[in-house]
Amino acid sequence: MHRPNDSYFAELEQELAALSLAEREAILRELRSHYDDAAADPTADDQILRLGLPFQADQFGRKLKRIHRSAKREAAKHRTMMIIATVIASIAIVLSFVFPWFDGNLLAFILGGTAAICSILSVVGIWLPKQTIGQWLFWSGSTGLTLIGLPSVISFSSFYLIFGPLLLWTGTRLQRTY
Amino acid sequence: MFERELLKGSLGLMLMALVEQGPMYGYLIAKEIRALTDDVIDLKEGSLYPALHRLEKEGMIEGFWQRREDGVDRRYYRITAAGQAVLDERRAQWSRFSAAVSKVVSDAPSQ
Repeated sequence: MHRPNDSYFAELEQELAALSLAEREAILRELRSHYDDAAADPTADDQILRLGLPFQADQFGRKLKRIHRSAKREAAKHRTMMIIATVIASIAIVLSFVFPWFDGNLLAFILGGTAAICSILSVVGIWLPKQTIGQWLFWSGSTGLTLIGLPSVISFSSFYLIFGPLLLWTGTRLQRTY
Repeated sequence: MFERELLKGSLGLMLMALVEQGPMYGYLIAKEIRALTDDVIDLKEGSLYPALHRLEKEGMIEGFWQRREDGVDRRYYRITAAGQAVLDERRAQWSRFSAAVSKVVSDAPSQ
């Protein structure tokens, strides 16, 4: 009885790993239907039938489950980082509006307004479906917020020095999961 | 067995040509390709399904689920109008290209 070798699974794994989670889900559903068809086909030769055999199904299933699990882990990690970055940016937006009132001078309002815009850009960037533009917006926003931290120290508050780098750090983590 | 790249270049054309005849599902497509090529091309599922999904994403074919008599779902594919136009063009290109390559490869004087 011919059994598919490791290179067969490696090839399949490689092809599937390159796809998005949604595409992989769709293909896995089709593969299940494919093996049902193979098992029900009386004209199927040994080469086709081998795929329906319990041994192969088990081995194949385990390989796919591994890909699937790691993809789900990645997606969950990405989502968590997106939420953390959104929370940080949202706090920065609120504080950008509140802090200038304590100081009351023009520079504080200019810096606070710019920081609010940068934070909003970051939030939009995080959730924008178009990933390239989203990443660009997020990095511009978080870098802008960090830069604002420097003059704001002499003006009214050093909080941007905390939130800017915090957002940049989150972005770096987020970047790894993109 | 063929070189991977050689198959990749013509896979889309073969798949579109097959679903042009009517809605077909993955297993049947693989079986048809094996039969039509006298078992020369044995398409693996890892290549077949991603290729079908790529074509679907490009709007060349469209897929739809249909329930079989035994209650199991099966995904069928059919060609779209845009796919038909591209297929007609690529089919003509392929005929010219394969004839040209054959001439060079078969008729080239060996050194």
